[in-house]
Amino acid sequence: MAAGGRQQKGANDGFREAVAQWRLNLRTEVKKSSSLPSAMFDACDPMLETRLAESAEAMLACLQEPDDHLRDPGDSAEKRLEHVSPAELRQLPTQVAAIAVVPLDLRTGLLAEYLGILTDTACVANGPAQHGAVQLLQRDFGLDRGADIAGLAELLTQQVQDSLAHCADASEATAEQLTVACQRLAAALALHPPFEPPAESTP
Amino acid sequence: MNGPTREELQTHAVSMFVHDLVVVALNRLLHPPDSRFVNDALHDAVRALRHAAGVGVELPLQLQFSDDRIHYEGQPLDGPSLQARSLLRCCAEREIAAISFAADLGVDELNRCFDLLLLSHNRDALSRDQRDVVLRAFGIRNVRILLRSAADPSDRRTGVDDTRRALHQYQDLAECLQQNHVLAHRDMELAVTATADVVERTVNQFEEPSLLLSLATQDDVDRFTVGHSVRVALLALQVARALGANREQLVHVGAAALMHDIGKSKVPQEVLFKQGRLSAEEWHWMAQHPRLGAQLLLEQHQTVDPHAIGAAFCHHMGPTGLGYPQPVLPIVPSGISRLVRVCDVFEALTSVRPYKRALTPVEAYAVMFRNQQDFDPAWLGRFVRTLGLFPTGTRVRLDCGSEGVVMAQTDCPERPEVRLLHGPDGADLPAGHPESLAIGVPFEGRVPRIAGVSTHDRAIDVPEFDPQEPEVLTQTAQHACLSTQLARDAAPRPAK
Repeated sequence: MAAGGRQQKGANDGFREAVAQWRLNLRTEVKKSSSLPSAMFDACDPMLETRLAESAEAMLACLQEPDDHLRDPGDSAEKRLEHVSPAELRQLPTQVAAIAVVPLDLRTGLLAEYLGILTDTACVANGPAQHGAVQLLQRDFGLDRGADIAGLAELLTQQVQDSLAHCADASEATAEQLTVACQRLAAALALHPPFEPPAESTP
Repeated sequence: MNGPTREELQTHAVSMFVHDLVVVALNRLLHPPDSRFVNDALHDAVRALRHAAGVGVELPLQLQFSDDRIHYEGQPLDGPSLQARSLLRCCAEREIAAISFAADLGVDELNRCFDLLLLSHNRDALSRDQRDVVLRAFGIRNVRILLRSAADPSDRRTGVDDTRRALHQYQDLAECLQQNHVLAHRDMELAVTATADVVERTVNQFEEPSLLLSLATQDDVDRFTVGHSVRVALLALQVARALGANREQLVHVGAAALMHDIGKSKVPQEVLFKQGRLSAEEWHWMAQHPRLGAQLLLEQHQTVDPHAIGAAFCHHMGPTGLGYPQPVLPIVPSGISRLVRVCDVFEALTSVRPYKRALTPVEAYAVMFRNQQDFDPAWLGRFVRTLGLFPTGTRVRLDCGSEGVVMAQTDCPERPEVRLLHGPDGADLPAGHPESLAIGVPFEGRVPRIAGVSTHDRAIDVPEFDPQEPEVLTQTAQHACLSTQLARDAAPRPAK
């Protein structure tokens, strides 16, 4: 870049000259690749070309330079460690022994949980997930889409209450919450477009 | 404990480089080759190579590739190989025996190298007659690829022992989950049936999943939360098996636990792997992953069972349904969801994350009991009793100074059986000394006690446990603990 004669100048001059040349080239490139006609640059805003070049330069610099967190992992690599006291460790066997051994069933509460999730998805989701949930509510819980939203809501409330009745922890579910949610679900069900089963493929 | 030796530092540095190569391969599965995620992983790999050189690893660094493992200087690198199935398969398809990486390797060059290694249309590019031409054409000067010799069958899978079988099974689980995350990310149908199949094979082949779990502790590739989910599945399977679950139930439990975090495939990776505190918006994204996971599974219509949907939706809910997400109807988590929650939290506490270090299992239990209201106590208790306070495979230090590894559990969760590795101060065990000890059972006038636990980067002291009130003990535990308590009382005490 810097010719031999130019080395007589200050140590950084060659570098500055190269940067200036590079900026000029960049401006030319920006102008060439812009959809604006050349005249527009000067006509609209004399600084437009410069600002575009600076933006492009800044973007190129970002691409060249890795992010700070990548550059020096040492500084940010200090990781959190949860503190546990010796007293807490000492108590552990006692705490474990204090828990009674009771028979456990993996399927406990499965139906109520399933119904709750289908309800949530039918009310909150959209697209294929909502479609799938509605379809499964119809298939697995016999909830046919009815014309009467109120009647459907009542039916749903009853089913949910029946399911939750088997769970000891379900007392927090108030009747009002249930009713509101079931009304939303009934509306989602009633408004949902009829399910079209996929056509059987023939061999 | 003494600091790591130079050789250990070098092996660790090589392992980290291989880990980063695997992460590049996994990111290339999910993202375009010029994406930021691939670029970050490439930078990490190049940096790791330079770090390896800095600690004295000789460059070019040569890695050998067999069908199921990556090796360095003939030693298998099991940890990074656990999630490397795709990379290993691509190398095997190309008959690659070894790859050498030179000091001047750059990011772009490494990325082009992965083009050759991973892209299916480049499968034959590295054939013997055109390899050198292709490497030159791709501008690859700092990577050298050696092909397998037809006369050297040593790289092939020969002889399948238990450890190798476990490795293959773990790789199958990890790969299956990786594929599901990629499919979910691309809004494609999940491989639900294949997932159930791979879990069923695990259930059929491993009556005792401790071998798989011990492999799991070496899996430190943190991408798509695959390692985490595989470990959660193995933990859940172990507890379910201890409960006497039948084969069908085990498959349900395993598949549900394996897929519980599938919703994270919809969370931006910048959020998922962020090291610092999450902003409100980022937290909103994270908190949606259970609901997104359930929705993803529901989109599969007929093929997903309610267990998996429940575990995906409810694994951040406490026993009364508190937690997140907040459903439109109150939901009380099922038995499987409660079990998956316990396994999920235990695994998260005991593993390294970008923002935190790993706790030892006994510390993790202490944290869980500190927040006991977040768990169903019955499932928490069952979990601890099944795994023990010192799970099988835990490295322990006894109060006499000897060190060993937990080999098996007893009726008392704090008193496992330990296989001794060496005596105090690293001395060899005296001739005739038994190789294993039952903690709490008198031996040579002493009652051995676990005084410390260590992981690969931490060691903690374990204090003497509080004596237990006999009336709170369960019948089985009471019997086991009282017998050792009596033995302890009868044992002579060392003079102060």
